[in-house]
Amino acid sequence: MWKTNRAMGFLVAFAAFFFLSSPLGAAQAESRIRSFEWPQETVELFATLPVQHGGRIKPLDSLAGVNLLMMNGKRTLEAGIDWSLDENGEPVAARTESLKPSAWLLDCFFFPEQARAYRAFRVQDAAILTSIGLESRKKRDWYSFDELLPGLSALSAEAKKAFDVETIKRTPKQRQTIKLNQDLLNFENLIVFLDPMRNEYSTAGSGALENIYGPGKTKGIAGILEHEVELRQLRASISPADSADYSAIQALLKELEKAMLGTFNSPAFFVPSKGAIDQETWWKVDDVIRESVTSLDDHSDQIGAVRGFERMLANTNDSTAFQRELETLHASLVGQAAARGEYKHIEKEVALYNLDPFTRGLVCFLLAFLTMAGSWLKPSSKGLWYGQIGLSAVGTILLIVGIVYRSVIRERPPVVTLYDTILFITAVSLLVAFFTEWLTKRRVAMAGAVLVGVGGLFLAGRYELKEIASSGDTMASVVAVLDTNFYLAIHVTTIAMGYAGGLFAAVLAHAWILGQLFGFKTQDKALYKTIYTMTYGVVCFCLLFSIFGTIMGGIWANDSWGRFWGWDPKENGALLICLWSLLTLHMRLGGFIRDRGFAVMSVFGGIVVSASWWGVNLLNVGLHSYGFTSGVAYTLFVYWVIELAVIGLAAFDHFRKLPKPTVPDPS
Amino acid sequence: MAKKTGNPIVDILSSLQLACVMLSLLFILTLLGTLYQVEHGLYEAKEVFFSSWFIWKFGIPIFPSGLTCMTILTANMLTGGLIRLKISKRNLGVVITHIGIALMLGSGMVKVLTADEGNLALLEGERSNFFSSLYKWEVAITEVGGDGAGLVIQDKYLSDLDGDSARTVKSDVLPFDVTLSGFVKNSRIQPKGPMWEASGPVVDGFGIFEMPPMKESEQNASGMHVEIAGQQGILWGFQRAPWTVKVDGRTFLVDMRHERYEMPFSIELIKFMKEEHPGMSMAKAYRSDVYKIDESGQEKIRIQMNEPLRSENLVLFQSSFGTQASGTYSVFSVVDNVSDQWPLYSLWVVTAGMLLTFVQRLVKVIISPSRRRTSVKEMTS
Repeated sequence: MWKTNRAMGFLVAFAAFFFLSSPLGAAQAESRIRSFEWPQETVELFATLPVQHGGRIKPLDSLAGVNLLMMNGKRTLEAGIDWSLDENGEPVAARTESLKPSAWLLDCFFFPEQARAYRAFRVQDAAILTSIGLESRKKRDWYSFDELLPGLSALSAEAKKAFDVETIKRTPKQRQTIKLNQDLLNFENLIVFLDPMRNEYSTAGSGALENIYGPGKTKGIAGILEHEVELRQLRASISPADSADYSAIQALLKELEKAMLGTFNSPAFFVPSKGAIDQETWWKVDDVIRESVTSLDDHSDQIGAVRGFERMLANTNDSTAFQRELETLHASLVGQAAARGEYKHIEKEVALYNLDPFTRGLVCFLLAFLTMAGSWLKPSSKGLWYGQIGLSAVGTILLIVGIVYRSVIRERPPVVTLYDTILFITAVSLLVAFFTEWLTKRRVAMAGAVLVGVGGLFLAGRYELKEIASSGDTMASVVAVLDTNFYLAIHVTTIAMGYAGGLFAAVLAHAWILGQLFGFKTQDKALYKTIYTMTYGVVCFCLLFSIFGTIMGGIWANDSWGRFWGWDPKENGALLICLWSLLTLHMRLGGFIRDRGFAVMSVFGGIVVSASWWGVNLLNVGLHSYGFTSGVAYTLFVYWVIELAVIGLAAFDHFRKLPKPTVPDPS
Repeated sequence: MAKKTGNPIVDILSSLQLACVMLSLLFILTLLGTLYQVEHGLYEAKEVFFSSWFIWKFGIPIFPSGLTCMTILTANMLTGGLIRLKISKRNLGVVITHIGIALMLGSGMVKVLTADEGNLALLEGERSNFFSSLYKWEVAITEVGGDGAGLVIQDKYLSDLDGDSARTVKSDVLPFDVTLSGFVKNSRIQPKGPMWEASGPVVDGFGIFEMPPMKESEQNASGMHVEIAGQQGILWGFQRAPWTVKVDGRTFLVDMRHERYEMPFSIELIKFMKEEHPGMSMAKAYRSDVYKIDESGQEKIRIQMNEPLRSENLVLFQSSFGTQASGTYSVFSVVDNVSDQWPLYSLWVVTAGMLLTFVQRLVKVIISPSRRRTSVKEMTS
């Protein structure tokens, strides 16, 4: 959806810029500085409000999380701002507050001026700011919306120019320009969400309108919409001949249009009315306004929810009253979602993000790495060894719990997106490592597990941002061809298990090559024989799942695209893994390679697997367009260079250890 | 291990060395064929690296291509994995796996040699009993007001007529011979001017302007020259109307179009539906409701992503859709392939064989008395 929205985004950028600088926007300029810390219960309740985004119903916390992560690079914002007020309501002291996503979103909605001052936008390259006429502090820094606002128009123009360049040919600066522009658009969509509830509407000066709304202006859109029936009747009955009333109604409708224009990309909180043709798409504020003015259905639930937001808005200076209004709104929105069976996974998703299993898992593996390093220094320490096992086990369990949670929330098999593949492949590699360690008890597989855990979860954390940037979510909706749990479960997971085997075999092979190179226990032939046997077993594991997954993929392709095999890059990537593992095993069987050769082939297998997993996605050709990736080429290239260097070192070590030709003694 | 047969050809053909060489060559071909697609598209890559016997350069074969390697590998598996290998309980899984892989490669070979592939685009309410190739062309000649009989010259008799090559086709159903020449894979027909050289003769001031092949081969518009009863004409794949030629007072239509394949039934599109994810423009599902009509009557069937229509070796898949002035049309990929389900059978055979082998080896490792259960104490001492 993100991509689709981009095209519209440039139009929205202009509209939003116009909106923010318009008299209507200027009317918001009243000071709205928060004078209290958000109570925990308020944040927790707000986090579980249901909202439709990216084709699915998710907790508001997830929407806040992906937005904050995209802008800020982290899910937590260190918000430094003068917000303590004296008795006159003036700020008196600077404070830094650590805001979680939902607390940040509360500020965006209810204290937009404050949120605009947060330095929440990470600018990776100061040259972007220079090119839009803004001053920069250092090469990479964080800026507030207000700091960037003067360059918004120029940024939008730069982003449009960058967007017109073919994806694969964009420079890093162009990619970051597009991203910053998108981040600002997303932020605008959040801070203008409650503007229709804040605005005053011109219902005075017209007899017909005053008959409905009473004297004076009407504050808040709910007050207008609650009289939807009368407004519709008046709109239908009035004619240009009634010049004063007609002009007044036209003016009011224009104000409503303006409110709709400003919020048409805001979060979709409202379930559609029972009479709506499209029952699946939730409504945004602009939909509620439009439908109330034009459709004869009953919109009392939707308008009631709008009124709920207005009541919260009216109580932003009183955290207790605010909490009370939030509870009322929460009950209403949750009740409507639950009645449609669309609330069942909301709390699980919030729990998943609160548990944050992947970050905690990474911490476990980092600690395991430290204990492993300690156990190398002091091999006799049982405590360090058991600590390494225990921490790795806890990390693995956290990882698996996270994968299961994501699977249950989406009602899908564990691997759907590229981000899922990282988590799943790491988990499978870890399980294979534990099993191998149980079989061999040489501590080698366990060391591999720690490295895989650290590497896999670090990579997942880095890639999460890219996944969100490309699809707006790490649990995004799937394209039509992937909408089959059977094939996702059978083909994608088995292919990923093959990848896991290939990569873990490469990890074990490194132990063999580097151990020999640096003379680590080289006299312990049994140790190296065990590593060789382990690597062989894991390559067999890789072959088993790669062959099954590849053929199964062909059968899926036969059902969806009309051919078993099409030589598409992704298919070829899978075939390369099968061919590599078959070649390695046949070379071993024929005696053409021995321990060292097998290790070299296994390291090469890591290159093959990474090329299949990531490399072919960079080519941007073929039918697997849902897997196209950008921005990982450099990392992949560095990995390949390192692996080729390892292969080179293995060759060097081999020739170094060849027996020297004996020179006959001249005597 | 394999035993020697005494026949040197069989010994070489069944050797592990040959298996390794073929696997290496296939690895290189797959890698190069994948990279080649970036600049030249999938169809060209398939033709050069996988569906041919050799890769040609300067008119000579410089490297064995996919068909050669897969054929030799299949022969190697059959001789080495099945004939020479001593079948025992220990290697039963290996034998079964080889059978499965051979079946899969065999199914690929059968498809390459016998299958027809193409597309069928239907507007709602429209019916057809044929589908058209995306890449291959044919020349069809029919008489205006005739009984419908005519001559169809297939792609294999056209696409080799590059350069100055020409072919004269004689037919009992036509009162003249047809001479075809100068086939160009991708072209544009335009008035001959001084700034460009036409491919072949200029006809009525128009010539064939040869263009580089498109990356997506289905976008190529082929063109060629035709001569009938002394009259010269230009045929073009995307021409809006056939070339008309009069011979002995009779009028004939000469049409260059994508090769057509008749189906044993007709398909009528009742309705095409596209479903999107809520609030997004991303497609969630495409589906078409169709009637399958044959002599026994008509049957209403739904064709959608991952659920094709299979009937009489033909498979129809929901491929894409589009809109035009006259309405929405649905596009089906159609494949006529006798080996359609063989890969599925091979999957089960291969899986059974590999599982058997893997479990056998694993159990052996686990229960092996030689497995050193080195205790932590031993390790740390």
